[in-house]
Amino acid sequence: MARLELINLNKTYTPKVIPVKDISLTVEDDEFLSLLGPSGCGKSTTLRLIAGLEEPTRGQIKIGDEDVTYKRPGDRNIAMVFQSYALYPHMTVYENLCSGLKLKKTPPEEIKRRVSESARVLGLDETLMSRKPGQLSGGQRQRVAVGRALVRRPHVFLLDEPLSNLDALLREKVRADLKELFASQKVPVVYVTHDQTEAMTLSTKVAVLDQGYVQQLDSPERIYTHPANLFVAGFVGSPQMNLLTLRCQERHVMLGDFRINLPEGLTTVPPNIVLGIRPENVRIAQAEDTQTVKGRVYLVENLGMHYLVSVRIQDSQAGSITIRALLPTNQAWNNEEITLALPPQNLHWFDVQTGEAVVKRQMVGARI
Amino acid sequence: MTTLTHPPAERPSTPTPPRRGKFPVKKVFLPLAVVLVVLFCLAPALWQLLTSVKVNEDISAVPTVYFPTRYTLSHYIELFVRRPFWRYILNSAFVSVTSTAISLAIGAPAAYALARLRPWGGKVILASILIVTLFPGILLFLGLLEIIQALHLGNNYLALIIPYTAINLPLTILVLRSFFEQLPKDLEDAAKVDGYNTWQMLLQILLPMTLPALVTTGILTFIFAWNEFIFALTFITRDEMKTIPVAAAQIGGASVFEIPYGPIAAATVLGTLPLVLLVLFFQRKIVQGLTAGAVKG
Repeated sequence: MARLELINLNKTYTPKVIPVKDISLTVEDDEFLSLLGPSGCGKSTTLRLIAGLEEPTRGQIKIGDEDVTYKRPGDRNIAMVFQSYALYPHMTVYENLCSGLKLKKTPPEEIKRRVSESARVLGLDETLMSRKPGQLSGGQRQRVAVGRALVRRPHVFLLDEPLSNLDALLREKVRADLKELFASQKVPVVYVTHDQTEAMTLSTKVAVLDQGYVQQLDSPERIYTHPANLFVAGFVGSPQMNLLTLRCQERHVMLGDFRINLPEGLTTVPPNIVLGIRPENVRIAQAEDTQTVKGRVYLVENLGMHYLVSVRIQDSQAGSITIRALLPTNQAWNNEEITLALPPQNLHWFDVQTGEAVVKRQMVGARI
Repeated sequence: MTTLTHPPAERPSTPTPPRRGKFPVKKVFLPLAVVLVVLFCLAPALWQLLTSVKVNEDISAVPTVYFPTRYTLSHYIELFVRRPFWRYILNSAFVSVTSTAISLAIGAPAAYALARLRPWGGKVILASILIVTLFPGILLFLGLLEIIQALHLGNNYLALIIPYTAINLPLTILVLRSFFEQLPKDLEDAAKVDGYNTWQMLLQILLPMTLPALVTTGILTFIFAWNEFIFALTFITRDEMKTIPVAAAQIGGASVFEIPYGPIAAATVLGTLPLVLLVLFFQRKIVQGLTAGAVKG
């Protein structure tokens, strides 16, 4: 029921250790924001700053227009779900669920009402209430941890990789449950994860973080189709995007002996440029394709639904360039020569020095 | 295909049962060794126990009577009739329980502060606590005597409680500190988000989880205080305030030449019994505390 704002957050431990360098973002009431990034990018530290478990060196945190930057975690009206669930082992499930409410001196009837409501939503049985966390399964413990957060009716939900400790099958199911659950809550949610699938499926907005900065803040679709820089392009999307550093000549680049046209919007032609194309966008050349490359297959990985085919293209400068393509399984590959098409509308261009996307691409038939 | 003309060399790959005629080494020697070690440790205690129920003639008999045929409880009765032994037990209990309680009450918050709150100068404090532990207690004795006299604390329970607490605090702080450091940090984060302040977190969440360590250090403190002799002998001279070790040592016989082995043995048994009962009662927690808290430094 309140908007979360982070303004120029910085956390410096020592001059060499600065996990959060400058982060600003806003999360509205019905938004689900994922903080996505590799280990050490600052996402967990940012979450702890929002929670109040750490104090920022610079910057502001506002919840619903109230400056909470230096308030204690208990006074910020937030709730957090931890990666290890952090349930109090010597208290029963019921006591765990209502511990926060008891401290706020909520009347017992209100506590009971909220606990039974959350238990119903999460599918927690009455019989579990009197057990201790040590007697529950991992999935049950996770639900109790989420329940403890729900019961508090906070202004902001914070989740720190809550699915990491679950096995793969359970993770999928709980992911769907969480999506449904938080959609009905209408409260800003901040979710930290290193798993792209979670970030892409659960959130309405994704903030890709690296080295303490926000690399891109966008909807999951745009993060995927319009990565703002080299890092985002390489991090999001599995299998990883093909990123090739190529020489530029006039209005095209040379990939081996083949020409790929540079995009129209490019005003000055740099000496080098990085070309990016996702393996799923690379396909076998058809008759009408203008931009094609020819190479030899040297590795085929069977992913079940597709083959991940690695193709080597001869290049006078670099020796050989490798492109990976996701091809359908109707044709087996074994060391043959193959002609691949690189559709212009799926090409991404990045500056070699800065890594920034060079041209704001327009997708053919893009939705605005 | 070759045919084997002679049987292949014997290679025992699986443990074979003891062959008939051979001496079963493992089955006999190991239990025997265990029995011997246990006997060695328990022998003095057993001797005192037996002495306390022997009649006087059996105690001083030559050759030594190990397992008496006649039993008597007269020594125990004599303890309570001749001397106020209940009084001594109470004194010991009071001093030990109080010094243990104060030691834990001061030690636990101190250990928590050193483990989690990381105060400025924490390393110096920890180092000085460690150094204090290395100091031989007996060297403190004369200095303490001067202090006790200056403060007029002679024949006051405080004269024992304060030194016992001080001597036990370093151990308490060190053990509890390593135990606190092992607790998952997530729990404290969750407590902070729930709204617990530091004191509430310590009392309601962390201490119940460190119960094994508390019990272990508590028992160690208790045993030290209960068995302590020199300070108790010097600082307390009034008879009704004496503790068990002192009282037991000062049991005199009917004449100068008679050493009342019987009553002394009975006093020893009675003095050790509470400790044995305590340890038996808390033994599971003690093992947990010793293995979990003591391993990490």
